[in-house]
Amino acid sequence: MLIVAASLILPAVLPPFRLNLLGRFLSLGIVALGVDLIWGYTGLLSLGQGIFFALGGYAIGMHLSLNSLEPGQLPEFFGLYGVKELPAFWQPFASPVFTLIALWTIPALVAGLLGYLVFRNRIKGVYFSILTQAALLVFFNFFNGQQRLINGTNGLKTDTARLFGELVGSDAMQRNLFWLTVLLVVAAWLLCRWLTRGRFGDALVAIRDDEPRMRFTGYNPTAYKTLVFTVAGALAGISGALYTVQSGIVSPQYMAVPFSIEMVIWVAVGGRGTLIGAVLGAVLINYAKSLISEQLPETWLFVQGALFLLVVTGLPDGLVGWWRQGGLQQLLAMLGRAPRASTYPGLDLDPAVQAEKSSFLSQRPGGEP
Amino acid sequence: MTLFLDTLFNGLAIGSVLMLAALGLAVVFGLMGVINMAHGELMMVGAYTTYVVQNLLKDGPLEALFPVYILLAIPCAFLVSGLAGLLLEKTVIRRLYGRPLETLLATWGVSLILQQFVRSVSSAFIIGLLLAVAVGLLAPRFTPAVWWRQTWTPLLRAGSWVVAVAAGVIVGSGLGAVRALHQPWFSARNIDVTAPQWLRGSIDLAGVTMPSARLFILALTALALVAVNWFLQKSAWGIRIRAVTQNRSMSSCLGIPTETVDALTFFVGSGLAGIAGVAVTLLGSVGPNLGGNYIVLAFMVVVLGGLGKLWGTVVAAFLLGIVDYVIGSGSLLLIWPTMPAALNSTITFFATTSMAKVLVFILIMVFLQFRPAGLFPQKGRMVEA
Amino acid sequence: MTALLELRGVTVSFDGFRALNDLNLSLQPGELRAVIGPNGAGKTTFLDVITGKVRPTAGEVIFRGRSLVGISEHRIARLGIGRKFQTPRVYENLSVRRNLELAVSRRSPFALLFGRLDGSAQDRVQHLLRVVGLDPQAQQLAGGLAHGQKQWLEIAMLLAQDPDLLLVDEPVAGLSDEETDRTGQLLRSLAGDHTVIVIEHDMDFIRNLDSPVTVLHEGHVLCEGSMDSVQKDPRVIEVYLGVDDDHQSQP
Repeated sequence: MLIVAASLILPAVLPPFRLNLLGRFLSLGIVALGVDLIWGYTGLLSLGQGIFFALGGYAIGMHLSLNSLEPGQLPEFFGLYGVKELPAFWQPFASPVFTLIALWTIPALVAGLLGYLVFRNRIKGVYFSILTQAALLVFFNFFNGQQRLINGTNGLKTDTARLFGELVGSDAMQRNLFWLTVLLVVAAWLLCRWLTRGRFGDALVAIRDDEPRMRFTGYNPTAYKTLVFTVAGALAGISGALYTVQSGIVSPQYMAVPFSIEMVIWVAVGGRGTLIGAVLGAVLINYAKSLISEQLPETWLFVQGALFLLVVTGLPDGLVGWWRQGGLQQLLAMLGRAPRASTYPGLDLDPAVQAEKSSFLSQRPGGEP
Repeated sequence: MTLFLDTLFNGLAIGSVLMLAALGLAVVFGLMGVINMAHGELMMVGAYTTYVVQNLLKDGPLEALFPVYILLAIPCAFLVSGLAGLLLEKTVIRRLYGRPLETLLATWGVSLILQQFVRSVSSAFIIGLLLAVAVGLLAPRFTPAVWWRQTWTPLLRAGSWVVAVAAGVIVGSGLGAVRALHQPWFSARNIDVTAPQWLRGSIDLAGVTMPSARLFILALTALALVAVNWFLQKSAWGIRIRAVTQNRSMSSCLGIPTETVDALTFFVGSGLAGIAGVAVTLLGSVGPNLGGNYIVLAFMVVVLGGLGKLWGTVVAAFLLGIVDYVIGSGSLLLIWPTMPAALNSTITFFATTSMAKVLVFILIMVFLQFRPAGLFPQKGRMVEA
Repeated sequence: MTALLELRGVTVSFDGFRALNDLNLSLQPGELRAVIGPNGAGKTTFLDVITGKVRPTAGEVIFRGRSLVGISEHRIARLGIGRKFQTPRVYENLSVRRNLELAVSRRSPFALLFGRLDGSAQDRVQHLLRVVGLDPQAQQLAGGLAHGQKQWLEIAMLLAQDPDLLLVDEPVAGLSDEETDRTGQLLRSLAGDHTVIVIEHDMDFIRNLDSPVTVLHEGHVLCEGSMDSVQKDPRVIEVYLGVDDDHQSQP
């Protein structure tokens, strides 16, 4: 909710460039929500979310490339490779409605298919991670190598295209896109909350913690995993599309190996298994990245590498998890600011203590019947 | 016939590099179950070691040894990469045994650090780094011992490291003003290792041109394979390693120092990455990003071969090499010129280096659909609960 | 009456080692059966074969006239076979109540997403919480329970599944005497409505169950009968109880 409040004020305060950056980072928050869903809750560490991210980006990119053309014209780059006719798979992207649907259904379908094939064979843990990374390389090499189909390495530019007669790269349009991003982040957050709050979320956690046990209880983990992987794919697609229109280009770099692993670290730093942590992590880390890259570009990789190490060894639940577990009180306690043992603020909230209390109450004569 | 030999040779040549890259992984991942994303960077360390050895011998008192520097580079690279791996095991991986996903992320972080390290390492940088480590490690020595038994000790510990790093950075950047110390050792550019004279030619055999460098790599691969196999099967420590792999707690009860075994296994696996790095330098210039090009494919080789089976890794590597070459060179078209047009265009579509990779990966995925445990799965009651 | 569960000539071999060797066993509906056997007799593999975790190399597993060979674990579970593991396995990061709710729920993802837990299911959860005495801990994370409580929670989850056939692997391992007695009572009360197979090392516990006993040895059935008759069987004495006379003289 803080995000909503902040997003209402920030457009008025921030200069367009910073606002655009924030919008981009928020859109990355959506893909991070997907990563959190599959990794934080279900225990599937995918290193291939870049596939779905880029597919979403390419869907919108192709549409925008076609959108601002005169009838009969082809996007410019086709001319460079001597392509005279629009490839068949480009055709439907001329329709805005199709594109709006495709930018999340195509990634979702690809994710669903890929997930089903992998999960069906009970491939999990690091094998799943390696396979998703391999799949990422497949897509990367494909998009990178196909100059004639999708302009290969150069990618598709979107900032000079027009949407509703307005230049996509213009300040006014970017501001609208920022609103849209905020709206979609909140929507994605609500969706994930709905998925994780109830028994479905319990089932995901149960699959993460003890998958064979779930099977012997009669659950089919493949169905659950495929479903959340599909949802995460769709979220990545939406995120990629939003990121593309705000950064002005979609290129195979979105499918680079490091980028997909970075997504995991956003979630890890923010706090896996907490939805707000995923968004927070994505925004914070990317903000730090842009800040450090502006000042001391050489040190960013050191900082990032150190972050990976630190979060894994020292902060396994991320910032939000640390906060919720009373990390701040512990810190204060170390400094001698707060008395430790008995009046420890979290004590009354501790479920074990509560259970003991209530069992004590119920055992007393005249207590609960 | 010539075509067949040509395909075989080139396939084996591609496969042998893969094989070397995957061999270390087969030891570390296959035997210990540790997933080391920094393996590619350890290869890079090996490659840079080769470069250093070459430059040391180029002129100066040891010039006479220059023609065989590549042979000297092999043990050096093994040692340097192995020690780097050992440091990694002692500081990071040790804390993460049994948590493979966390290990994956942590080692990825290490790989990023290593990449940037070779880019920006300079004399000033090293002095700063050493200073930071020294301050960090020695801080408890030179401060009252009471400080280290307080409730706020963890904060102090973290704080002392922050101070140490800050001191290192300040000194490092201060020394950076001195020209001689500022000069990066390698910089971000690629480095070139010139193969010695005797590896530059090629040998013609039955109409197939075999570059000597490729033959050298093949020989190196065979040698490494034999050595690793001997080490694991025959040597006392190898047997201990296998014992720990099969039953850690039992081995521990029998008095096998499991921690030493872990460290040794990791040392050997990392050292093999270093040797792979030597081989890679012969194929062209190498840069800080070298690791990324090999790591995923090397992992696929290990997975495809089946974990814990050296033999599987060998077959998988050479199989991948041959398939990769056949697709990438489009030589199927030469064998069968009259194939249907549709098939023909499909093959032409994939007949580039990057598209061949696409197809190879797809084939691996399809294969794993039918044999999820790889070519030579481990049998027995190792089915996890 | 036809058998509820029947194993015909089931053999499981791992790389030449036969964990089960031509095992034949038949179970009537409502029966309570104890399975004992020395370590390595194939007791756990026996459960693995029934629940579909391990596929038999040869032989048939028939449940209600239907072969279970080659059916995946979750389908077998849905057919009405529930299993309790040797070490208690509960979902440690979920509360006790939520553990049980998962066990009573319908299993499809969409049912969990869009459906609500109906009143009768909620009542069942509440009832089971009382039966195993975990009512006060209902909101607590299962990971924080004591060992005995975890065992009981797992048994409650098994009951929540409402299976026809319950496979219970070492239910009293690590329990106190009192808890063991209660577990025994619970299992006896289940027989009749349910069919129960209990695997246990604790001989006194088995004796108190007062049920037919099957002795496994090296993967096949050595003998069957009441605890007393089994204990007098010289083959059993030899392979399992030992030739030690002290052991025999105990009532």
